[in-house]
Amino acid sequence: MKKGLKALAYLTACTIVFTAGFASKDFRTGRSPDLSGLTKSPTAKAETLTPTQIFAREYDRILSRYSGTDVDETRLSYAGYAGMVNALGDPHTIFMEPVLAQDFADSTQGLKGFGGIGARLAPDFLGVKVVQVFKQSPASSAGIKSGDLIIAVGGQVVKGLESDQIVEKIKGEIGTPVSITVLRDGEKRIDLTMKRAQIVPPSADGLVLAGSNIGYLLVTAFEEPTPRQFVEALRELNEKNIQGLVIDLRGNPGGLLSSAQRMLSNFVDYKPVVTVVSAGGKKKDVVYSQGGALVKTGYPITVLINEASASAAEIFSGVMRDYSLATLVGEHSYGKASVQNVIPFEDGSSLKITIAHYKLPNGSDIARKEDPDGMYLSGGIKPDVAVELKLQPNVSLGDPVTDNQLRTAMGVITKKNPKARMN
Amino acid sequence: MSDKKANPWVSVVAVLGLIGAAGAGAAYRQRLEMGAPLPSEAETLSLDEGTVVAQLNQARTTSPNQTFYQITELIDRHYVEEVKDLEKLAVGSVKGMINSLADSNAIYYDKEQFAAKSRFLDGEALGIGVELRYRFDEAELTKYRAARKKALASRDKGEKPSEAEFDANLLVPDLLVSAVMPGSPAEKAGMRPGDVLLAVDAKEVISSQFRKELDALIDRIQSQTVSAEEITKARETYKKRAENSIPPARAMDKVLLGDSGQLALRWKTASGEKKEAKIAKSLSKFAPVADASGTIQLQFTAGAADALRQAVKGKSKVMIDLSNAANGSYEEMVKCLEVLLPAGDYGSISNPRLGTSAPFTLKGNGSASTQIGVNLGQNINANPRMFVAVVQASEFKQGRIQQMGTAPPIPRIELFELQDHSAYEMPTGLYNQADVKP
Repeated sequence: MKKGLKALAYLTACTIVFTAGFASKDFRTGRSPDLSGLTKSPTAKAETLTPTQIFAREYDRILSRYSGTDVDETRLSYAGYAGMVNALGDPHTIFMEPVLAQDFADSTQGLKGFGGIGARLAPDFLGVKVVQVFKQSPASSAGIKSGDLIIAVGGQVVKGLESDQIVEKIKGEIGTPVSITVLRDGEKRIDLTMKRAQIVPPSADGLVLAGSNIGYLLVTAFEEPTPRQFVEALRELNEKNIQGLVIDLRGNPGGLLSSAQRMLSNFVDYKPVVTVVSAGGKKKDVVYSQGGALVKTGYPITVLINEASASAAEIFSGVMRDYSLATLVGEHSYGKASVQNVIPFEDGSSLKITIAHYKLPNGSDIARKEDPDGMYLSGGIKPDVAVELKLQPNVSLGDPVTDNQLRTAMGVITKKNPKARMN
Repeated sequence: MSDKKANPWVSVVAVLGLIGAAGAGAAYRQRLEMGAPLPSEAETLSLDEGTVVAQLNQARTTSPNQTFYQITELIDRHYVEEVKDLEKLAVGSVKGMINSLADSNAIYYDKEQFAAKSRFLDGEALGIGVELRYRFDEAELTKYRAARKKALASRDKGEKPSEAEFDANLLVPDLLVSAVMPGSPAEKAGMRPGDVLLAVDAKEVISSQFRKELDALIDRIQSQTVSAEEITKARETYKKRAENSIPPARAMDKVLLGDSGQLALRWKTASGEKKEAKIAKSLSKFAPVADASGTIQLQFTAGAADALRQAVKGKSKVMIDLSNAANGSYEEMVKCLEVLLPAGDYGSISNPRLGTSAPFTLKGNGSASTQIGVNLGQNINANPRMFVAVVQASEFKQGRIQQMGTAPPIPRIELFELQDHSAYEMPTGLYNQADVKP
């Protein structure tokens, strides 16, 4: 009798634990348990297909019935996963096939390089102008200086070619030689030969703007190594006694939130940077800047933004504005107010998924709104000083003469600091 | 009992049992959500492709279904918002797969589009009362296919496709008016089959020509050899045109869906003449068979076969006009053939990818002696084209014509409905009249 009771109790325990196992998914996802699946009979379920069955049936049907020749199982399944993820209606949640996933991983780690000479170039009437020479690059070892004009590559005069065509001629396989003729100070012709090396352009680099005592910090992305490059460049500029600083985030698509946080820590001492909201608004985490990393800046700062400044670039500029640390100059930013995570799969593909939205310190939501045709309606960060880029031939971004947005940003600085000057 | 030392193994087994029960509970849930494997298509399929399908299913070693389930789980767990409608995601996967075929005959219809299509197949046209179809430039299509092949090959090798290859992927079709329903607002406004839609409510429909012109503008903007004024002008023109444009798929929805409201339309006739009109949307009902002075105007919509049977009763000579025939339904088209033609084989339907072929068999009871003539237009759809080809094969079989045309194989397009009442169609075979013997 007692034994029977024990067995019964054990069976009951088993049932309870089975039910708990069944509902464990709900506990994991923070919902009230849904046990309807246990009570519904499987035959009633057969009327409606589960999401996976819907996919499976049409996947099999296409493979077994479609008469076009241009289809393959892997590609079809990838297209299915991508389509499923797209149905969320969130442009930032995407399924990435192995090729795209690898490309994406390289880009966030700042590993994407090419064979070149290591200089940033801008279009010029005679060829291309060297805007900046990267440290420890073939160009810097060969003695190329910013301001040099590249007028011939491989012995051929490049006048009349488009700048990207010239850049393609300079780039090439790592280790191969390339000869270049530069024109210095408008008169001296210098022939140089250098070996192309693997070039990974720094994502943050600084210089003192020509004809001024204002520093210029170009940040092209927020990658893994960016914060280190950023603070190094900032310290170097400070040693040169700059009287103002322009941080250029135009065209910066963002990157890692942690990089933006670390870079903001140079200016903001342990204060909220963003509030991250996830789980449908139920979970809120405040991300703080690090303490004790402040870099001394006694001068006015402006940040340049435009519609191609997104994500971490918006966090950076928004936080600088919210703490009244910088004046924003340029055009409204993109309006990406979400945070993504990347989940890799065994075959090299991965899922980039929006896990949270964020809000800036002053509580503003900058999420972009578009009309059904994908046209911008609202959102993004509004600049304090709005100025559109005047696109003309020979405009080169970062050039204090032809870049009118940069000039406006410098003007803001000279107005605030009488010691700052520009031509 | 109580003083007897308990066997430690009993409690270990009991605990293991409990753990097992919990695991079984979780596993049962996963099985329910993934769903039991469906009967393979091989078992439910018509005979023509059966054997090859069975082999295909066996060849698959890893299961895409499991990956799919895994992704739904990841979304459920990590996505910023709670996803209530997982069915929507599953249907999205079907849309993604269909679009990935990059085949102008493989089309996904959302709920509203499919509802309109279903009503059309029942003889009720919404919108302005036309059928619209994407028409691709043949030369561009050939270029596109070659570029796509290259891009896919480099992708399979793990390389990133070049920009030129991506560029070729941006193939934009024209929006062709392939049928104008009798009595519809479009017909009253003078629209005819063969017209091409240019603008909807003052928004230019993005076409291949439109894209070429915008590309030329971009080139001019980026060029370093033109004057600043010209660049500024090009930029403004570009901005204005890009802002006042509408993608073909959205233009199609505007024209085909709903039965109220007015559209300002601009279109080009087959002879290149430009026309425009304000057209009010309304429901137009049309009959599958209309008799126009002895010629039968046929639409392969609901009831077509029965109406056709009435219309040809007792006639030894039948003239059918398909110049304004919408694509209609494949099943209704076959039924119409079975009204007109005697039972027998009329060519074959093959699936080049699977390497299968089966005779195209009609089970009808039409008279072999009925002479059938067909009028066809320039812009005829797949189903009417197949109808014509089968009639031709029959005339050849009966010895009334000496030669068949050398028409390329015609796709058999089938429609599949999903449980959320969206649907897709895709070609499931190619009709070939070549092996018909007199």
